[in-house]
Order: sequence, then structure tokens, then C-alpha cells
Amino acid sequence: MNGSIDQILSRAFSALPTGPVRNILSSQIVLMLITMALILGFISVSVLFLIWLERKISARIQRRMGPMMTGPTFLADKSMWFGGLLQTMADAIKLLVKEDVTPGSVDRVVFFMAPILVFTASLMAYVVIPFGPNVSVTDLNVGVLYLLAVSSITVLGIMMAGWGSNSKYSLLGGLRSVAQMISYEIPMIFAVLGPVLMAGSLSLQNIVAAQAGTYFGFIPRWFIIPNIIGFLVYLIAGTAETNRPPFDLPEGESELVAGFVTEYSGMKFAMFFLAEFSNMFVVSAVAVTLFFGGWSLGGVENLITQPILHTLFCVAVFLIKTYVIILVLMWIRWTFPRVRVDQLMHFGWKTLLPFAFLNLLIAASFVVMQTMAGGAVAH
Amino acid sequence: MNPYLFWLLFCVVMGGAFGVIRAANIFHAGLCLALTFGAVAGVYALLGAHFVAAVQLLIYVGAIAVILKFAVMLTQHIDQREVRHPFMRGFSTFLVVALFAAMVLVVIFNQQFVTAPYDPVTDYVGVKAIGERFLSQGLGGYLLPFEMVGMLLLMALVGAVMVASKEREKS
Repeated sequence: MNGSIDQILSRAFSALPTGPVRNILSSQIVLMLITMALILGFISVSVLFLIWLERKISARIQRRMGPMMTGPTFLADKSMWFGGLLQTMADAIKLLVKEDVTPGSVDRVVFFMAPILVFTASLMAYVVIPFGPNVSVTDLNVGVLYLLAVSSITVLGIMMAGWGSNSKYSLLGGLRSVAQMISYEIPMIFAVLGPVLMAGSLSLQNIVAAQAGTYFGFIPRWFIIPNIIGFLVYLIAGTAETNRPPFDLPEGESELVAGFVTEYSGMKFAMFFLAEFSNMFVVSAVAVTLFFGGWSLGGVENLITQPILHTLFCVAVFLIKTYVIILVLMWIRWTFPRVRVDQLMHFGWKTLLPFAFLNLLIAASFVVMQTMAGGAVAH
Repeated sequence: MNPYLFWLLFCVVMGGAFGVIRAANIFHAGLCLALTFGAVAGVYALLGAHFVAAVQLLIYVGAIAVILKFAVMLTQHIDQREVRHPFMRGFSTFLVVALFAAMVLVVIFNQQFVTAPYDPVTDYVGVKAIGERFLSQGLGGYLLPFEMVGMLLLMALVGAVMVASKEREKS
């Protein structure tokens, strides 16, 4: 694929006058660093926003006054949307400057590495997310597989946190989390296979491209159409993979204090927090890519012919779709009570997995029918 | 292929492997093993075998290393310092290692390695090609081994269920 982010950057830098500055800027390592900085910046800002959003939604669903009202009065009084805007910033600054306590009996190296590993795994996922046409850091031919592989590293980090903390709550939380994530990874993989089968590719950009156009001229050819069960399975499994309620047993505060994050404080705690929210973004972005046509909007985006505006429009479409899914995830979080451990396992293996298989069968028959119809339905 | 990256990954693989043997604590040994697996995935990626790299990461780092540590965490006394190192088991270890090394060396020296400059673009094997190879017979097809592995995994699965259900009957 041409036109990934570093290529766009190097094209932009080639407009600079020749000289040492341009040479340094367009070297491979500097381009890589700039791309990394872009991703990091994106994650930080988007997580900051997501935390604020989560608090707002929780406050609206459960009528909590704080997140709805705090902040400068000129904002809070003018609009109910901006009340509580500064709470997240205060929270972030607090976490950054807070004393980072390392309990005496922890396994130091493991304890230190765990949050870094968890955050790195979530950072790595951003590399293949297709934000727009040609706007992704890179377009791997095995994109979907890469995403699943990278997200499985998180398990290792959580396990390290649980064991390294040398505390019974952390250990139990870590064990629960690993059992949960391994169990829900399987229905997730099978749910993801539906769109992959229909697109005939593992590359996320190709999957988006395969969803261009419409059925009968007005229904977008999004893969949600035969894969509705797969989408629901993916969303549920994704919630479980990110350890979010109602699947937050690894950190169920009434049983385990805070699970594997019990002994963490300050910056290290903030990294777990950051990783959780950034994983939520990844889960939603992948859901949009696989089931809702990614950055495409049923052909509407092609009405804009100016290339830069077209790209910006597509990125906006992608982000809006992603935030809609995030809203649904938050809505789920603040509505359902936590499941029990045995319910969790039963649900994952005996309900979710058969449904994921069913979805794969439906997707396969859809593909066969399309091939037999000779593309008569298409376009 | 970037030689610096290769040597970096080489050091990580070897360092991890050494850590597996030398770590006094089984949990640390397991982590070192995961590190080695991850670095091997890096080597695959460097060679342009993206599919194998992703699968290596997914299965070895994400599943096998995790299950291994899960088992370690359920055993008692993992903190004990007197874990006996394979190094110290003496003669039998030496014999096994020597035989294995001899086997590897024989294979290496009987192999004609491709020394032509590596071209990752034309050499790239897509996922589709791999899938077609798995399901085709005859030359270049792996249908029989593929099905055999499937049977083997099924047997392992049934066996695991059997063992687990026997345990339950006892209790």
C-alpha cells in the first residue's frame, strides 16, 4: 500500500529546502519516531477525552452530580455538555505528580515491567488501524491476525502485574483475568473470521475496500449485514477482553479490592488506566473496520473529489463511527451488573462460541450465494 | 534485512534462553521463555514471513507462555531458591544436549542454503497461498499432514476432557 503515514510525512518533508534539516527529518528512524509520537499523542488526548466522556455518561445514567457539574462555572452553567470538563485534566495531573509507591515485598523487575508491557501492547495495535484511505501507520497483509496477536500480549502483562505485586488480591485478579481473556479470545477470533471470509483478506484496508458500494443502490455493503451475530459476539468478547464491566471480575472491587492493579499507584497505575481506555478505542475501531465499513459511508464519501477534503471527511466518518461504538460500550458498562465467575465461563464457552460458529457458517453461505449469483446482487 | 536488528534480536533470543535456564525462580524462567518466543517472532517478521510472525506471537507468547505461567502460579513454593538447575544434573543432561547439538549440526551442514540476495517482495507468501497449500493434494500440498494435525488436536482435546471429568467424579 502506498501512502501510509510515514510516506505522507516524507512527502511533506520533501517540500522543505534541501539541507541537513531535511535529511535528518526524512531519515527512517526520525520518521518512525514522529509516527510513534503521533500515535502516543493521539492515544493520550483521546483517552483523556474518553475518561471525561465515561464519567459524563455514568453521571447521566446513574445521576451522579460531580462529573456533570464540576469545572469553571462559565462552562458548566452555559451548557450541560461541558460541565466536568476539567475533572479529567485534574485527574491526569494528579496521577502524574503523585508519589509512585512501590510496596516493599514486590518482585521489582516484574512489577515495574507489567504496566509498560500492557501499555505497549495496546500501543502496538494502533499501527494497523485504518483511520482513512491510506491513513494508517502501515497496512500489514496479516493485519487482523496482527491485532489479535498483539492483544494477546496484554494477558502476559496482566499476569506479571498479578504475580509481581506479591499480594493475594493481585494474584487472584491476575489469574481471573488470564482465564477470562483466554476464554473470550476464542469466540472473538471466530467472530472476526466472518468479515475476513467475506473480504478474502486479512489486511484491514482491503477489508474496508471490500465494503465499498451499496446493495440495491441504497443499503451500504457493510459486513454487518450477514454478520450481525458476529458483531454482537465481537462486542461482548471485546468488552471481556478489555476487562470492562460487566466482565470486570479481575478488578471487582467488592471481592478483590482492585484486582491486579491493587498495589499500583501514581504513574504506573495511570499506565494501566491509559491502556484500558486505549484498548476500548481499539476494540471499537476494529468493530467499525470489520462490520461498519471503516471510513467508507456507502459511496457518499466519493462525492467529495478534493483529495485532502476527501481524506479528512473519511477520517471524520471513521472517528464518529468509532465513538458511537464507544458510547454503546459505556452504556453497557453503566447499565449491567457484574457477572459471576461461573456465569462468565459458561457464557463464554457454551453460548458465545456456538454463536460465533453459527456466524461463520452464515458468512460462508453468504459468500457462496454471492458467488453463485455471479455478482448479480453486487453493485 | 537489517543486520543490526537481526543481531539485536539474536541477543534477545539468546539472553532469554539463557535466562530460562539460569533463573532461580520458575516464574522468571517462564517470562524469559516468553521473551525468547517474542524475539523469534521478530526474526520471522524481519525475514518477511509476517504470517508466521503473527502466529508465533499469538500462539507462543499469547497462549503457550501464558498457560505455562498459569500452571507455574498454581504450583506451590515457586519462590523457593533451591530449584535445581538442569546445568547441575550432570552427565545425562550433557549427553542429551550433545546428541541434540550433533543432530542440529548434521542438519545444518547437509543443507544447501540459498545465498542469493533476499528479496522480500517477490518472496512473500500470502495467507491465501498458505491456506491453498494446506487444502491441496499432490506436489506442494499439505492436505494429509494438515488433517493429521487436526486429528491429533482433537484427540488431545477429548483426552483432556476425559482426564478432567475423571477428576470430577473422584471429588
